[in-house]
Amino acid sequence: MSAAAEQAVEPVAGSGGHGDLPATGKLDRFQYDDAIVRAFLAITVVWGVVAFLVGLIAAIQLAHPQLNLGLPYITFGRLRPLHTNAAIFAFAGNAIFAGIYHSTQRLCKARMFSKVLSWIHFFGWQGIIVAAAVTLPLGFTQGKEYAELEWPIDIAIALVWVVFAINFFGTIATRRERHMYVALWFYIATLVTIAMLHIFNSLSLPAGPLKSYTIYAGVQDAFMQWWYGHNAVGFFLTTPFLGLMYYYLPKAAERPVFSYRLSIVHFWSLIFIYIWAGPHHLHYTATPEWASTLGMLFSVMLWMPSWGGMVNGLLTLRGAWHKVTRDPVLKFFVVGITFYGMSTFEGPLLSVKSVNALSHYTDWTIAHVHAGALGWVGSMVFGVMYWLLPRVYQTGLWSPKLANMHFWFNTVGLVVYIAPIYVAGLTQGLMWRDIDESGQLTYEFVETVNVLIPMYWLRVIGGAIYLGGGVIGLLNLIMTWKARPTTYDNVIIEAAPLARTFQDPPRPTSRVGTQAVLNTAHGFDVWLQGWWHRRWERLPLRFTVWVAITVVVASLFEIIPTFLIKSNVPTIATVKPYTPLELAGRDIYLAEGCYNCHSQQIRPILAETKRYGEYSKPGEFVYDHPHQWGSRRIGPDLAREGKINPTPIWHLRHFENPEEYTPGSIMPTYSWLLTSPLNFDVIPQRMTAMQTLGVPYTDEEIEQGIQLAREQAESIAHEIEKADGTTGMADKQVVALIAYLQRLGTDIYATAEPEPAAEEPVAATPGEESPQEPTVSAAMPRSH
Amino acid sequence: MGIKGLMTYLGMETFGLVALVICFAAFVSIVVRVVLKPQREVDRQARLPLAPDDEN
Repeated sequence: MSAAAEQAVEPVAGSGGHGDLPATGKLDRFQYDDAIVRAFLAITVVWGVVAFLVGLIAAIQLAHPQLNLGLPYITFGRLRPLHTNAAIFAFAGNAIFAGIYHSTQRLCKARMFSKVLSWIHFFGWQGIIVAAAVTLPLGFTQGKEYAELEWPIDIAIALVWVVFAINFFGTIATRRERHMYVALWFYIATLVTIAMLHIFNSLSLPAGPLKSYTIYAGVQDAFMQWWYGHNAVGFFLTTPFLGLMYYYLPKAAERPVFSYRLSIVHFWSLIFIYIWAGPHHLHYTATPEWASTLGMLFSVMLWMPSWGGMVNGLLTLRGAWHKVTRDPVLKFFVVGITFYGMSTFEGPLLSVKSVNALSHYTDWTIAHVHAGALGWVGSMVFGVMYWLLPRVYQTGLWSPKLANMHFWFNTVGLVVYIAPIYVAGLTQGLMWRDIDESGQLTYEFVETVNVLIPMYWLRVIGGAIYLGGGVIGLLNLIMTWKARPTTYDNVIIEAAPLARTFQDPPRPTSRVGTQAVLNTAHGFDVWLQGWWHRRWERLPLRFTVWVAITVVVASLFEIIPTFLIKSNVPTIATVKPYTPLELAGRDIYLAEGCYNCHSQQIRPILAETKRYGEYSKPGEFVYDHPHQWGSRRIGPDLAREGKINPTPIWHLRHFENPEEYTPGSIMPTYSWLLTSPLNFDVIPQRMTAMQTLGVPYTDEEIEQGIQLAREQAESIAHEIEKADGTTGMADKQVVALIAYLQRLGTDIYATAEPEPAAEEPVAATPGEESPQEPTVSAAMPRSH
Repeated sequence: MGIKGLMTYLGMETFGLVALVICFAAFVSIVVRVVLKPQREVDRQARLPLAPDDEN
């Protein structure tokens, strides 16, 4: 094209941008794909109501355990993962996709790359959610928090995520706006990091069509789990919603973000620092102290970039606060961003070890989670929803009044939810650690449960109000949809394509001039002028690579030492693999979701060792695929259960009717365990999988696995019959679970087997002492 | 001495130090680059969501 032709053409405002040559005069004409946005938006609210309802049921079950109805499919242990998966992946996930599909097209001035991929993404994701809704109540679970879904569903998640990534990056590649607005950076960080987290945390070895074991064990599994768990919060519940905030808040407020510079700084700080925060879930556990300290330090630092986002969001409304009172969208956003600020201050606070010593395992963590999930995520979702509704359905919002009412149900409901649970959490923590004048624990565990029941009922009220708000939102969506035009207006968008020969601004020259300095100084001054970063913001591939490097480097700094430093997990000679029956029992423990109420990790805290026994050692968990340390104590810790409650008959009767054995217990009945047959046939297959993962089962043990399991089951059943005459338990699931519970925490008290042949003693150099064998102290077991 | 031995020998202090230096250097670079951005360009980029399109 001649220079004269270029100059003859008027440049199109807003297209290309700095450095683009004037347009050729031919504008591209295209349409945005809002059908996919409508689909994701509608299903968001449907799944939201489902997630809130399941959460409400779970909340009622804690206050009124009879609501477990004696049915295996709806026990708290199976419903809670359904609730968390629905809230995170179904509700928040679909909302993210709705917002990303809508905003990306407009920021790129390009239609989504592929309509086919859009719909594969949509139906694939809903298929995953339905699969979760079916498998989790049936007890098919990997037993890893927020990653419970079994291996076929994990593979489906990875595939659908790849489809999403191709569609998203394809749209970026075909964009007509050269600069990538900051919202797109947050979406890129989400895509890259979630892929990394999901793939590495989900690595597992199948042991059946819907059964697998994670490749990690014990300490390393705990580490991977919370590297994943906290960054799922960071990169699924934070970064995409920050991206949505950076697009929809300016749109709703009709003003640009307060500080674009701040958005750049807080973006890079956030994605680098977030990755390190995972170990703050493991303070005072059997993970090495360096990991715990690192997690704490970076969690505290994380406060700064998080508040960068909050400040940027709230100050965007500078001069526009009068609009907030009139617009429910802005009301939702203000509450959302405020709760983001509160949660991202509280998070670092909870990460401080001394605070965590009080809060860990208590309901304070739950209050924190829900302040973030209901306050930040929920409010942002509904704010975006109300902004989108009239636009994507091309009609007025059916009822602005109901939207305002929803806002108040949302806000009041979430405050009524979290306030009593904060009180509950502090109450638990303080009661657990209370020691009287004689140096004994003041409260039995069940006393600390019963005192919380009124707070649990208040939570039910808060949750019901929040659910009511969700139902109002769903009603508004349905009625707005009903009022849509018969045929949608296919709005044609005109925008100039990016010039093929984009001319980078000339490399700046050194400002140091002719002074007598080294060439290095000239080069440094040129670098300081930042021309290279302006190029990055126009180069999505290079940008994505640097995002990936940022999150991967941060991850490797934490993970490599965990796996390569031997001293992190000292070996304990008396720790042996589970017997075949105990392994079967462990699988039942996972299937029933016992970790949702019970922890298996005694911290070296006086009140804890007095209540539960010797604190947990890293070497005790080397064969635990997955670890079951848990993060809640709705029920007592079980790490030394084999020492505290060694009798089978206690467990049998306790499973049948927990409240009869522990008055005031809120544990539901598990009476079906006494009648459901144990599947002995799968035991060799599961032992083989464990052997592949490094558990030292011999081939002979695997071959005899069924027989060994039956023998141990007969022995336990015989003890039960001797105790109270109950017969017929030898082939029931309950004996396997009893065998597993009887094993917990007992290995460190076992006697080490003598060495087969004595070695010649090493002669000590004069002045040196002979090496001493480490001993494991055996604290006296206590009742709960 | 294998890699496990080397890592044990180096200890976590070295790791922490290296991580801190990298983190700090990256942060300073980003801040410098952002501060030096021309204001006109920043304003244009901040206004991208407000560009006219099919929404009213």
